[in-house]
Amino acid sequence: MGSEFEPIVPAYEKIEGGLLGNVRLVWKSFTTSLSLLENARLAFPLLMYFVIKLCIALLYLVSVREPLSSFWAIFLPGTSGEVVSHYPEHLLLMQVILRRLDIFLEIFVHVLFQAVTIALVAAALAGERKTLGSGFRLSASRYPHLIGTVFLSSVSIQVCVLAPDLLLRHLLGPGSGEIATAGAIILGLFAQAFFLYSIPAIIVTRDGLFRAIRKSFSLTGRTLLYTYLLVGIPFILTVPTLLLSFKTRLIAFRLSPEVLIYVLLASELMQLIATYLIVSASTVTYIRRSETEGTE
Amino acid sequence: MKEIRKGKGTSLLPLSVALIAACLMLVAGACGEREQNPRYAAEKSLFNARKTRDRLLQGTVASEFIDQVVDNYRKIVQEHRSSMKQHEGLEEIVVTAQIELAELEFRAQRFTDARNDFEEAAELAQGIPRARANAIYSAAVIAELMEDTNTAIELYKRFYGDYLNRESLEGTAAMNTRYLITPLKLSELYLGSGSEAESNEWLTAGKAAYDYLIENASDTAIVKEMHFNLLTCQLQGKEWQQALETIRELRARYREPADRASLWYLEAKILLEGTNEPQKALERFLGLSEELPDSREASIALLSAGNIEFSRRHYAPAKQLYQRLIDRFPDRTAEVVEAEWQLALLAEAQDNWVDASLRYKSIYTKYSNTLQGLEAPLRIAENYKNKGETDAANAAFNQAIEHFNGIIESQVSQSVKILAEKHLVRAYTEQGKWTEAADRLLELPDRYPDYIRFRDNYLLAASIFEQELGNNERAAEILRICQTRYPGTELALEAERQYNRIKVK
Repeated sequence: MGSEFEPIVPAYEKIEGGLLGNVRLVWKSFTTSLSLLENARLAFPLLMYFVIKLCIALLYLVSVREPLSSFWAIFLPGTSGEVVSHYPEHLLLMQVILRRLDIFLEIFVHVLFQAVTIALVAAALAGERKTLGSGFRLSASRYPHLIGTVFLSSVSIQVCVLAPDLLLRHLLGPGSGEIATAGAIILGLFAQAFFLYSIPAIIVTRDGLFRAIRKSFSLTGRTLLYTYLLVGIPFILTVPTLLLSFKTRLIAFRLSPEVLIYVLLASELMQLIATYLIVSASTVTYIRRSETEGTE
Repeated sequence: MKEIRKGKGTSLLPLSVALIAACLMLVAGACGEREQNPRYAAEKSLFNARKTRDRLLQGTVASEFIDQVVDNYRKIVQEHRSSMKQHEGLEEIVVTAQIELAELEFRAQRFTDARNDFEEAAELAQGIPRARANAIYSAAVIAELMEDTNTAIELYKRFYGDYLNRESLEGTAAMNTRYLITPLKLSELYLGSGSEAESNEWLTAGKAAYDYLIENASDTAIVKEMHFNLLTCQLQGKEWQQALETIRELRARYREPADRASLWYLEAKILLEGTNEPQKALERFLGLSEELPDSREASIALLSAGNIEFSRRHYAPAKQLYQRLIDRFPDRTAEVVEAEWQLALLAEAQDNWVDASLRYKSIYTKYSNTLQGLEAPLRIAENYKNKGETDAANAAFNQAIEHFNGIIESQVSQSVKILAEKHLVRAYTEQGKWTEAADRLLELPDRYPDYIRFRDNYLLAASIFEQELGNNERAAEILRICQTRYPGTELALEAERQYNRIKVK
């Protein structure tokens, strides 16, 4: 056990060395992030968002009658509310519908809770005490910048995810599905890595939208492998449930459509863990880098 | 580096965990609320029943599970039928479950259950005309398949009354054009039961319906189908000249190869069996097989041409035509086996028994599950019997019996098994093994409960015991059993008559 005054966050280590060295550093950032959870307040914003997601899932699950089923059908153009209200379609379409709703939630809601987490993590690192309320107030004051950066990162990620599929389909024909998926994941994570530090920049150093993005690109460019691993390793946590969500029909017909509810719950839980790791570790990295070498 | 303060936030952890646990429980419990929606609950039960049924049909679960699948479907119907009108969409699910249940029973060859459940589906589907039509028609087809002529007639008549009146004709044709052959089916069933007048009445009713649709239907596919149905009416009514006229008309109207081939074949068939002009028929058959060699009718035309030559004792050209069929269409088993059979008969007609017996053996080895394959071993045995070669005949009969038993024990369709059972009984009777024949006859009604014709076996067995074995007591006992098993039927009445006759003796 360290003494009461021993810092939880380790001193900055220069990011260099090969893959193993970077993995070790990323691992340290994650353990630091997890050790910060001794202050449970840090987990609360993302837990709140998790609860919101569960409530939405709950609302979906009980919507087997009109007019609620028609509301969900809005997310599936060409499908009527009646179709969504039938069994097993109701459960088969659940993942697709909630994922589409997630796009809006990510941009307008999730970012707010991520920003609060970043504010709390930054305060904890600085040894300050920040209430949830002040975290929300700070995040709300930076809301337009936050929406802007999430919007731009989402568009970039979408482009990177779709580009390999379109390109390979054009070059290799329809049999290129697996290569395209691998390409989409690699490029999507790249795009996410370049925008990774933009929200910490908006919250911690109060940067504007474009300055934050520029800082993020610059920092990622200098720590490419490290940052790529920072987003890539938590992504691995979500892969099993992601793969299961691709096999909805198989799960429904081989096991039971109800299993899809558990897949959804597991998926949300993994997302929660992965998001906390990424948000917290990126904030730790951003602050340490700003303190020692600046970010520009 | 500043230390991190541990503040009041720590106390939020249990609260957070409790909140999440509550949400997780709510989400998991949400399924319960959905069950309260009867339509949704019924859909779920139907989905599960279908899943088990599909596994059964794919062979991934043992066939013994069929009762479980049947129960699953029955439970859906029983649970929701009383409230099906009160909830939107529930009636469709209940009717679907009932129809799928009947279809499953049909696939499992439980014909009686299938017919009864289709009739039940018709009752349930009062508000869904399409489903009701399907249910009544399916019940009628199954009754016909079971050779239960009276029930089949009753059901077809019910279908005709409800769906083939002038107002609903076009709508019914749009559902399924097959429904329109109901008058033809009725005519055929009445003809089969010896009521020629009623048979003709139904032909007239059919013609009226087809004429009406030809005049009024807007769908050209329906009009075409009705033209062909009308032609079938003329053929069934033996109106040969009129049928030839219609064929000429249709040939001018429908130029598709498939239509040309079937019309060409029908014309040749009329010339052969209707107007009795075999030479013209031969020319038409040969013309068809040459002009449209890829058509389904080309092989049948060659077979018919061969048969014409055979009946005229022109053995060489007949043999040539049969052989041509075998060489050209090796994958058309039904025609090939018939050609092989005809070649064996031809060899017999030319007193070439060695060649004929070799051909019969080849038929029952290669095509054991066909009618010819079942007939062939008996043909050999009968030949020896007719020649007075008793030992050879007994050996051949025993071999035939072994052959039929092999088929009955193997994994073949019920219809093939029934055919093999009939041939087995024939082998016993022709060999003079009367006890074995009678015992076998008595086993069959229980072994094939859905095949109604086997119920007559009681009369046959009684007759064997009385006439061949001189055992009147056993004959009377069998007739009594028959009366008890099928009370109130024509069969029971006949059994009673026979019983009284024997008792008087």
